[in-house]
Amino acid sequence: MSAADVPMPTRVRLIHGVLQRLAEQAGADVLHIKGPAVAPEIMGTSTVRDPITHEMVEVVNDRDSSDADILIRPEHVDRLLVVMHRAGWDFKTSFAGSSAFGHAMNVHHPTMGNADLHRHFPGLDRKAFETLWADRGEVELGHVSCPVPSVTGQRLLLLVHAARSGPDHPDRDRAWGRASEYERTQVSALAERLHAEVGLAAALGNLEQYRTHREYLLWKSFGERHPSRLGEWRARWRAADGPVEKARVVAMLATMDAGLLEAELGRPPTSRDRVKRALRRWTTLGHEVRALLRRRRSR
Amino acid sequence: MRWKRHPQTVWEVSPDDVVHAVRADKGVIVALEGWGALIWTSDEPDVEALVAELATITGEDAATIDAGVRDFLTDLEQRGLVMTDG
Repeated sequence: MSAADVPMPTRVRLIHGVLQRLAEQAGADVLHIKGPAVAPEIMGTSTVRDPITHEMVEVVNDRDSSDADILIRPEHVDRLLVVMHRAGWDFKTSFAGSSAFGHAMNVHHPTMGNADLHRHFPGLDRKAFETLWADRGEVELGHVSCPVPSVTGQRLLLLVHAARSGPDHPDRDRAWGRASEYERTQVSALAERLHAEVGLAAALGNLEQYRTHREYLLWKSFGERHPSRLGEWRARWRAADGPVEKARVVAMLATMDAGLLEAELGRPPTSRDRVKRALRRWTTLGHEVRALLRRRRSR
Repeated sequence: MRWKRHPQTVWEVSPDDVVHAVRADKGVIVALEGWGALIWTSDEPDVEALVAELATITGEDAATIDAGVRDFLTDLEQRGLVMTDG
C-alpha cells in the first residue's frame, strides 16, 4: 500500500506516531507541532459518528496538513536522523539548504509520505526548545502518546508561523482571535521569555512598534502579499545578529541547495536544471538591484 | 492463544472504517477492512474468547472463524504488527 491510498489526515497522524516511536528508539526529545498535534482548544471541535462504535463523538477540526511537523531538541537531531535513515526515510533537503533560516529539513518515506523536521523555530529564541519541553503536554496520534507544547506554546508557534506565511492566515484567528484575555496575556508573556515579541507583533499587526528593531524588515517582508526576493535578502542580512550570522546569510545567498531543487522537481536535478535555477535566481535579483539603483538615481 | 499489537505498531481508523497499521521501523502500511478491522479494534486478547464473540455477532460457525482468525493473526505477526504466544 502506498501513501496515496491512505486518506491524508489519517496518513499525517500515522507519520506523527511513527516519528514518535523512532524518536523514542533514538532517545531523542521531540515536540509534535502544527497539523493534528494542535490542541482542540485552538482548533475547535465537531460532532461526528465514530466509524467503529457508531456513537456520536467530538472530534478536533482538521487543519488540512499534508505532512507532519516536529521540533527536535537541537542536540538530539543527529541521533534521530540516524534512526530515521535506518527506517527508510530519505532526506530531501539539508537544514542549511531548506530555507534561509536553516531551521528545518524536509524528509520523505516512500510509503508513508512527508515530514518537516525543525531544529529551531524562526522567530523564537534558539534555546526555546527547553522552555517548550518543560511545559509540554501530550496528544495521541496513531495511538501513540506524542509530546506537544503547552496550549500557550502552541498558540505562540502558530502565530509566529502565521506571521511568516503572508497576510490573512487562518491561524491568527484560531490562536489569538478566539483566545480569552487571560490566554492572550499568557501568550505575550511566553513570547517575551522566548524573545519572540517581534514575530508575535507581526502576527497581530503591531509590527510598527518595532520599527527600529533589527528583525523589523524581515517580518515586514514576510507579511507582504508579494515580497520581493531582494527585499527579503536585505531583511535577512539586517536581522542577522553578528558577523557569523551575517556570513551565513551571504553563504546561503551564494549557494543553491540541490536537495530543495529535487524536492521541487520531484526528480534528481540535472546539471541543466541546476544552471537554470541558479540563473533564474540571480536574474531575478539582478532585475531588482537595477530597479533599486534607478530609483536611487532618480531621487 | 493470546495476541496483542506490537508496541512499535502505529495505527489509525480512517473515516471509511478502514484500519491503517504500520510498524514504525518498517514503514509498510497495511489496510484492514471488515473482519480484519473488527479483530484489530477488539480489545479481547484471548483468541478463543474473540472467536466466540465473533461467532455470536455474525452467527457463523466458530470452528471456521477460529481458523480464519488464527491465519489472520499469523499473517500480521509475520508482518511484525502483532505478537502472539501461540
